[in-house]
Amino acid sequence: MTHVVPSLQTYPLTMTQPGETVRVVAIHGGYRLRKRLADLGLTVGLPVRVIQGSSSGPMLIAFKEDARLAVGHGVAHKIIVAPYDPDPGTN
Amino acid sequence: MTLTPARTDPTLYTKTRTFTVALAGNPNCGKSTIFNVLTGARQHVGNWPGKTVEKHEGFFRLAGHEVTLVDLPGTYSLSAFSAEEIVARDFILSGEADVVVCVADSANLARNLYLFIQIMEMGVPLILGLSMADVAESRHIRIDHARLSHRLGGVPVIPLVGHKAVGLDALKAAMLQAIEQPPGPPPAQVRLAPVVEEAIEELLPLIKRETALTYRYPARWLAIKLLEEDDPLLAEAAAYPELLAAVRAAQQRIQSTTGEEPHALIADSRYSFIAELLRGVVSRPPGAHITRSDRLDRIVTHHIWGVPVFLAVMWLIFQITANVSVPYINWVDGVVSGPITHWARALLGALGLGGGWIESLLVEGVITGVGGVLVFVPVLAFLYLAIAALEDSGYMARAAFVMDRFMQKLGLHGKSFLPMLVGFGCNVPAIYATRTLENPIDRQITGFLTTFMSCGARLPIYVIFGSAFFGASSGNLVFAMYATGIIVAVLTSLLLTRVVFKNRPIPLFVMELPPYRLPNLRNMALPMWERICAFLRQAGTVILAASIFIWLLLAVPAPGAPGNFNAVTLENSLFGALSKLMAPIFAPAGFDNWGASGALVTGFVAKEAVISTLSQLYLDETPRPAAEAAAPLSLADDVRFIAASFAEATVLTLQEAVNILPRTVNLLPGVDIPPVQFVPAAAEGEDTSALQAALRHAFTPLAAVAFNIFVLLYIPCMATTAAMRQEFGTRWTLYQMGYSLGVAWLVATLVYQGGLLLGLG
Repeated sequence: MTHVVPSLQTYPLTMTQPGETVRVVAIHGGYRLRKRLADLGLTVGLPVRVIQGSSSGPMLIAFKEDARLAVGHGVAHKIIVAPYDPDPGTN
Repeated sequence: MTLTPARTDPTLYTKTRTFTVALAGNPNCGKSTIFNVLTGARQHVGNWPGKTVEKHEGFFRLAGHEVTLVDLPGTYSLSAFSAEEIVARDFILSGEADVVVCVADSANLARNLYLFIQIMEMGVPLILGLSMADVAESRHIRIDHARLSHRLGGVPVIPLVGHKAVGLDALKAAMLQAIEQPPGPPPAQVRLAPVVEEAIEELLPLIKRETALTYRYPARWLAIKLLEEDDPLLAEAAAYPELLAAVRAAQQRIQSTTGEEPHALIADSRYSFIAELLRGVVSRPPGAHITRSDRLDRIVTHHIWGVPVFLAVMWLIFQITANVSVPYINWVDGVVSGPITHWARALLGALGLGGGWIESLLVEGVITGVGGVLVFVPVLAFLYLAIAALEDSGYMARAAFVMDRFMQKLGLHGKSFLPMLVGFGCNVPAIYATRTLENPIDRQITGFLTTFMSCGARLPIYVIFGSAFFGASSGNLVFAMYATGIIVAVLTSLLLTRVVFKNRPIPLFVMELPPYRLPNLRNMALPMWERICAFLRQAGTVILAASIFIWLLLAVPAPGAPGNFNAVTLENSLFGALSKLMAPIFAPAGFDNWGASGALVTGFVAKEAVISTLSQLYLDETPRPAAEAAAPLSLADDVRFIAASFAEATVLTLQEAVNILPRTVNLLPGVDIPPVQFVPAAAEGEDTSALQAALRHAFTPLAAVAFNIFVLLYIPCMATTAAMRQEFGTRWTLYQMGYSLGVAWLVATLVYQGGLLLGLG
């Protein structure tokens, strides 16, 4: 859990805007939540694109090309992300 | 054709056996389409023993073998978090299935294979079906399935297009091969991270010496699950202290050497295995990340624009369940009270049993009861179709997304909204609509609340009372009743979520949004019929028993009262005695006349009965329908009547469907488009002025309001009660009955007493 050095550059998913792509650096919350997100394919280290979201209410994110996941505001707040630095050559 | 050799060759004959094939896969992966195409109408919907999870089984013949296809609930994983996951994993572990077909969405393979490799870990014979191959193709996603199969150590990999039946022959051939020459467990194994593999090696000898464990679980699978912190399995392992200690030690070592929790490391290992597996197998066009679904979702799931879309869809569903189903309901009602009743009377007459209590029991108890059950069939059919269309198209998940913001405030899930809305039409389908919720506690809470949604059968009661007491402003009473129901539901929801179930796991809103798809009619219609049969079997018996019970109350004279069995006035029957006994309870609410309590008793059978009982009691109308004065109708006439009225109901259904449009547009102020009329409307309007005068005599206006509030809130009709029992069990149903009676009495009393204090009496 501590392999990512926390920095000012990390923030909860709730602070992102639609259209932004970010990388998941940590998932807070209990074992249940992390296991459920992992079962749905959302793991630490993954780049995630925000499709829908507002200052309150649930968010819609895309990852692994075709997975689309809705997460409630409370859950989104526990997903900590950092700006995504795409490797050269990918989009 | 396959039987010919069987007759001549006895060894071939004995080879014909019944086999079981399990169908596993993620929700929305196209599994049910494949299930329906394989089994057609030969399917059965029930419940998994002891679970509220639906069990779908289908049957088909495969080269002379009878195959039972078990459609496992759609799951993303096989942890033990939900009833669905437990059901799916227990079934696979039981070894009942000769082969498991795992269906994975071709366009979302990386995510879908997570379940597949967990089944692989369980060491059962497997086939991998890649569904929606056409969708993947249209998006230029190419999958080298031969290569994938090779990498999986020969597990058959078959591309499928369910609704076009593409790939089914190959799938059946693979099943046949697996059935006739069991392939054994797949040779490929997922290699997990080295630290995890090390831990598994340590645990294996400890597991293998406990035959009680190895008898039920594959050893390697059990070791992985224990490291993953699987609750039910850890509880079992507690009986073996040495094993449990080793698990804990290994978990700690993994955590300290890698800094990651074992379950996260195992999930990562599985995903990297999948990434490796698909390298060079799946090719995608670069940059095609934004799909058509995403573009649609920018509007549909938008926090502002999503709301009008949502309201429009919900309005449509409400119109379909509440209005479009009405003509068929009337048709069922007409057939039961017309031809079927004549036939029963004629048959009894021919047997020499006419005219007596047997006829009365059969016609007024049994046939009325059966009719009371059958009228729900059209509503349920339309509801199930509407829900299936919402789910199949992918909109259901979006609706939950849009409503989540609001429902979270009530401690509920976004999906709880639909059952509540359906409840305004009829509470019975509303109870069944709670099945769209995943968590059983959320389902129970939502089911509990739906009965406070004022259903269509309660409306005529408010209208008659409203026009009797408030004349032109009777609409205010109607509006007040609907509002009271909603307020009580909101308060009850807060009570249940904040107090009664305050320790339940917080509803974590995490949900996959499947891509939008055109719903498939076959997919929607096949389970609909099975679910209706389940309603008839389970709720039907309760409703029938209750209507016979009410008939007995009406037929048996009260002790000491004049009258004989089946020849007694309402007042002197057990029913009258019971009503009089109950009446004083309602004194604080202002309506302690026994007629009002009698109407509440029959109102339990069906809310429609409240008005007819009040007319019988206050206007002294003949309680029994006059013996058939009409000339005996011939069988041919009856059959013609049934057919003609069915045709008319069909036309009226179309008319109602078309009329959704004017009815909707007319909501705008100043717009008044007349609805279309394909057939002339039957003159309905019964004359209720005599009843209204009688009501004004029996109730004060304030007591009338209190009575209406009681009717709104007290136990819903017996059909709803039976549905609730079917879904949530007897105990929860009794709680609901007790609660709704208590709340009804309390609110009615508060309103009456409060009104008196304000000098409104």
